[in-house]
Amino acid sequence: MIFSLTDETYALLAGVEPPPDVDEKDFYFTIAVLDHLYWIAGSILGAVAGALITINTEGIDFAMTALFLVIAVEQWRSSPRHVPVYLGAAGTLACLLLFGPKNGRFLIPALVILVGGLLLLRPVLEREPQEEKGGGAS
Amino acid sequence: MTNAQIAALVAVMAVVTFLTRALPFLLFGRGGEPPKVVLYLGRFLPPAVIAMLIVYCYRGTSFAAPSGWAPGLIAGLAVVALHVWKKNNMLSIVGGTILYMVLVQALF
Repeated sequence: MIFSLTDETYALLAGVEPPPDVDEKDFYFTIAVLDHLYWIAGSILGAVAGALITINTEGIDFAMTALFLVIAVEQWRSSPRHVPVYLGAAGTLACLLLFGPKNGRFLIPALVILVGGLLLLRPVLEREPQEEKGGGAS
Repeated sequence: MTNAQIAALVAVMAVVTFLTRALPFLLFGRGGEPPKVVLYLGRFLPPAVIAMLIVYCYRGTSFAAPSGWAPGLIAGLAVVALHVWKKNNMLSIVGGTILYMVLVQALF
């Protein structure tokens, strides 16, 4: 399980709830295994097809943006607290403006701000009665 | 780059990859409940991180010309609208990506 955690697996796990009649460890493990298989299959397919196909793929990387947007929508719906989203967007945007987009180096200070900010907000966020289904991957 | 340099790079990456995955277990042990702070972060960090990743995806946005921001904005709104409307991951992602590719390649 430890080694199976990829970006995509994390993204999926953060967005789904296991069905009630399925053991959650099996559920997570299956997702991780399938993701790895897709990964390997996709790499092979891509290597083979890449040599053959010549369509213009410019802009196909938007799929990742779209995936994150979809997850954000799902999380927004499943959690009553939206403060972390505002914090994440504002903190990252501030770091992007401050440090520039080069090499994605603004991500590290952004992450520090997010974790720090969340820790500061802990008394506020935990005060309300714990509503379940808080989009977390815990 | 020499072969030795490549080997050194791979070694460093392997160690770091392993460390990032082993660290939580070294810190918190295998069984039992993780500390409350970790559970708290586990609950509220994911939405913040996804917001961060979205900003990261849009880091190349430029306002010098419409082609610098319009395709991403339009396709992004389309993804969100599609997903709110149909709640279908595949449709939202594939639809938004195709729209983006058309916008980038043909319109802007």
